[in-house]
Amino acid sequence: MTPHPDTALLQAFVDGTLGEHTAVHVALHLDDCPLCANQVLQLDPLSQAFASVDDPVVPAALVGDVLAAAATPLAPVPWIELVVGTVLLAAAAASTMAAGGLVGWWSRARTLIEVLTSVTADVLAQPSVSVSLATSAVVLGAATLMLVRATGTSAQEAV
Amino acid sequence: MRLHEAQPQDESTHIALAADGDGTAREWLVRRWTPPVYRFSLRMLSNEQDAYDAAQDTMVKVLNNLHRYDRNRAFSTWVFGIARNTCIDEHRKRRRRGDMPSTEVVDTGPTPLQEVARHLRAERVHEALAELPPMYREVLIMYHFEHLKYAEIAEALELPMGTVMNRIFRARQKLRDLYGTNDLPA
Ligand SMILES: [Zn+2]
Repeated sequence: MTPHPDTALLQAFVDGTLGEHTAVHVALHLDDCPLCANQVLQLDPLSQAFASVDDPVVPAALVGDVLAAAATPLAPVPWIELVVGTVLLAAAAASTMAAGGLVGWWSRARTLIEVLTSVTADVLAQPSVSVSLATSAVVLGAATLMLVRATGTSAQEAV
Repeated sequence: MRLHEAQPQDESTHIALAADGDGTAREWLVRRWTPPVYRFSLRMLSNEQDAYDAAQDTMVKVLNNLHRYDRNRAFSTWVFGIARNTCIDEHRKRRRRGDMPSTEVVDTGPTPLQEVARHLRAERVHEALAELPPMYREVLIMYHFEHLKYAEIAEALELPMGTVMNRIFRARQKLRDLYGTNDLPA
C-alpha cells in the first residue's frame, strides 16, 4: 500500500481540488486503507450525510418474483447439438452434390443453405433444451429427406 | 467491512454452480444480490415500481448470462454494470412515455417520532440525488450507498479511474451548487 496521504491532501481530495493523476493516486489508497477512508469521512459533510441515510426497504415479493421470472431460463444452446447439426447438414449437402453431379448442384446447394440458415436461427431461438433437441431432430429429418430426394433425382437423371 | 467483499469463496462457488444450472445456487445468488440491486435501482430511478421492474430484469439477466461472467472481475462490478445499464434503459423508456421526473420519496421504512429528523434528512439526500443527471448519480450511489471501491466503480462502468474521479468530483460540486455546502444535511 502507498504511504498515507497527509490531512491537507485528504482535505483537497474532499474539496475536489486535486488534479486527475493525484486524485486517482489518493482514491486507490483510500480503496485499501480503512484508516484514511475513515479520516475522509470525518472531513466530508457530504459523506456523513450519505452515511446517515437508512437503506430503503426491499419489497418482500421481489425475491420470489425474480425466482419465478428466472424459472424458465433461456438456456444457452448446447454446443454438441450445434456441432452434430452442422456436421449432419454438411454431410447431407456433400452427398446431394456428389449424387447430383454438377448438373443442378447450385440450386440444391442454395436450398440447403436456406434450410441451414432457418434451422440454425430456430435452434438459437429455442427457450429450452428439450425444444432445442426437438429442433435438432427436425434438422436430422430434413437433412435425411433431402439426401434421399437428391439421390433419387440424380438416379433418374442418370437413366 | 465492505458489503460486497462478504464470503468471496462462498460466492464464487455459488456462481460456478449456478452457471451450470444448480437451482439452490441460483436461489442463493438471487437472495444475495436482489436487495442491493433493488436499492441501487430505486436510488437511480426514484420510483418504486420502475425500480422493482429494473431489479427483476437485472437479476434475470444476471442468472441467464452467468456463463458470460469473467471470473477475473469482481462479481459486484459485473452485477452493478448490468443494473446501471438496465436502469438507463428504464430511464429512457420512462422519458419516451413522457413521465414527469419523479420526486417520489424513497420509503426508508417505519418512522417512529424519534426517527422523523433522520427520515427528513434521508429525504433531502434522495431529492438532491434525483436532481443529478444519471451519469453523476450512479457514481455517488455506487460509492456512498453500495460501498463499491473507486476501482470497482471504474470496472463496473468500464471507464478509466481518472474519468470516474472526475465524475465524482463534478457530481459532488453539482450537489454543492444545488443546495450549497451549508444547506447539505449533516
Ligand atoms: Zn492510509
